Amino acid sequence: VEPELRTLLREKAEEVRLDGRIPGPVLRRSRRRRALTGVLAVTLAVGAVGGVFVGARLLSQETAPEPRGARPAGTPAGFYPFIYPETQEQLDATTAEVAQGSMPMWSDPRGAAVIYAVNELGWEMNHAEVSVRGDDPITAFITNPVFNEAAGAQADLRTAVYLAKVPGAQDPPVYAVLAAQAEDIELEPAGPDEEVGEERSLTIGGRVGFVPQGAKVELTVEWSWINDLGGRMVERASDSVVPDADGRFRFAPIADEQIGPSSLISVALVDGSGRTLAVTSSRLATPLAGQGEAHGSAPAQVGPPEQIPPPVAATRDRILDAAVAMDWAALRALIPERGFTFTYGGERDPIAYWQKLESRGHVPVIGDILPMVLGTEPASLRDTYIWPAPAAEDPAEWDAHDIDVLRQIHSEEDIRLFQEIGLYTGWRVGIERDGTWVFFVSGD
Amino acid sequence: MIRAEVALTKAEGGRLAELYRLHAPDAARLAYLLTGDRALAEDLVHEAFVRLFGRFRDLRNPDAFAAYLRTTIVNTARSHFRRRRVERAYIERVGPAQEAPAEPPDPTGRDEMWHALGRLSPRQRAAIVLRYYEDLSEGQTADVLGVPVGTVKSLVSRGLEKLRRELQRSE
Repeated sequence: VEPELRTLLREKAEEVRLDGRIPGPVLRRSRRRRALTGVLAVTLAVGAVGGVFVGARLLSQETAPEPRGARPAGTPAGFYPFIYPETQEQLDATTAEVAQGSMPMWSDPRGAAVIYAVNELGWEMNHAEVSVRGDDPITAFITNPVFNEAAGAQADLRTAVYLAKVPGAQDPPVYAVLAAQAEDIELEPAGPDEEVGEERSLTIGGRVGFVPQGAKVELTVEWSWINDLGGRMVERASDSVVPDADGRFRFAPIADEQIGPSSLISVALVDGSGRTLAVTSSRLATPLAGQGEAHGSAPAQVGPPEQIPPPVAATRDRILDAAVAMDWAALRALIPERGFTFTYGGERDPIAYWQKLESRGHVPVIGDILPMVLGTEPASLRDTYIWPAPAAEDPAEWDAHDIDVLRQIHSEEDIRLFQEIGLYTGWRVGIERDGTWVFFVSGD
Repeated sequence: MIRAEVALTKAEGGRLAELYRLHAPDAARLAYLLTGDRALAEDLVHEAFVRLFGRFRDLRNPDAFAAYLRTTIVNTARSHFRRRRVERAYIERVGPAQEAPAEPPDPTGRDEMWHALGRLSPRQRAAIVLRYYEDLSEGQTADVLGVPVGTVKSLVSRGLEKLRRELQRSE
C-alpha cells in the first residue's frame, strides 16, 4: 500500500494551487497582530500598578452594551478580557463559524461552559453537570460528580463560570468565558489581582474548603511580552503546593516585570490522580471577587462636571489649585503613598519627576498640561473618573465631539496617531469615586 | 509623546509577502492532505501565517521558516479537528438544535484510498502524511507531532493497517 500511498498523496497535493500573492486580509491581520502585540508589550510592562491597572480591571465591562467608557485610559484597544477562547484570534474564528451556522454550543451558555470544562479542565463531556443562572451576564455552575465522588467529597465541588456575550455577535450570540471561580477556593485577600505589587511580584495564597486525599493546589501564571527584536514571547510559571490540614496554601512569589493586566492566572484544586476538581481563573485585570464584580453594571457615562461625585470634584479642585499655583507640597499631599501611576520609566517620586520635566522647560506638565486635562469632560468607569473622556474609549469609536474634546489638549497630529495605533497615549487623570487620585500619566 | 513603533514596516510587509510566496503553496498542499478540504486548507494556511509572522523574529532559526510553518499547520489542523470532535459530541448529547453544515464532498471522489485516508484519525493521517508526503523521518515526524517516536511508529503502522483493511473491503 505504501507506494500507492505516496503516489496518491503527490497527485492530490498537485490538485491544490494556491495563489502566491498574499491576500489582503492576511496582511491586514498580520499588521493588526503586530500592532496589538507591540502596544500590549509596552502596556503590560507597566500596567500592574496605579490607574492604568485599576482601569484595566474594568475591561470586562467591554462586554456590556454601554457605548461609552468601554475601555479605560492607558489600556490597549486590543486588550483581550476573556480566558476562553484563549485568544482574540480564536474568538474571531469561533464567532465566524457560529455566524455560518456551525458550532452551536457557543450560542448556548450551557454549551460554552461545557466546552470550557472539557478543553480547559480536562473533563469528559458526559461528566460535566451544568446549571445556568442569569441572562446576561450569565453564571454557569459546573461540577464533575464522577471526580467529586472519587475524591470523597460530601457535596458538589462547583466552579462558577462567568460568561458574557461577545460584542458584535448577536444573531446568533456567542458566549465567551470571562472568568472562572471555584466555590471551594478562597484567594486572599480578594483575588490575585490584589497581590501585584510595585515589584511586579505575584504572591497568591488562600484556602480550599475541602482537601481530598493526596490533593494539591496548582498555580499557573501566563504572561507575554515583546522582546528587543519585536517578537512576542510567552512565559508560564507554575507551582503546586499541598494545603495544610486547614486547607490553607501559599505559593512562592512569582516575580516578573512583564506581569500585568493581561496575565492569566489559574489556581486549581487537583486530586491525588492529578484530575482537576475545580478552578479559579482570570486575566489579572478581570475582577474575581464574586458576582458583585463579575456581574457589575455597565459603566456609567458622566457628562458635565457638576455630576461628578463630591469627593471626586473636591480632589479635582484641589489638584487644579495646586497645579496652577505650582504648589508642590500641596500636590504631594494629594498623592497616595501606594497605587499612584505617574510614569512608566521606573521613577520613584512623582514630584521629583514632574519638577525635572518642568525644569527642562519644554514639558509644562503641572503648570499647563494638568489644568488643561482637568478642564475637559470626564468619563467614568465604574469607580474611576477619567479625564479626558475619550481616553476611556476606543479611538476607533471617537466621534466628532470626542475629537473636539481632544483638540483642547492635543494637536491634530497627536489625535491621528492615537487613532492609527488604536490607543490613547496622551496625558490622562484618574480619580476614584472616594476622591483618591490614582493616576496622572502619559505614554503607554 | 511616546510614539510606539508598532506598525508593520514596508520592509516587514515585503518580507511577509515574500515568505508567503515561497511557502504558502506547499503549506496549502500539506493542509489539504491533512484535512481533505481545500477551503479549510487555505484558511489554515492563512491562520498559520498570521500566527507565525508575529513570532518570526523570535524564531530561533529564521532560516527554518518552512519547518516552523509545517508544525504550525499540523497544530492548527489538530486544533480544528479537536474542536470539531467536541462539537459533534455536544450535538449528540443535547440534540441537534442547529445542524452544522456538512463537510464538502471530495470533488474528485475517484480514489478509494483517498476516502480511506479520510477515515483515519487525524493523528494517524498526520503521521502518514508527514512520513509519506513530506518524507520526514520518524524522529522528525515525532518532533512535529510532539509525541515520542514510538507513538509515531504506532500511528503509522495502525494507519496503514486500517488503509489496507479499508481497501480490501472495497475490492
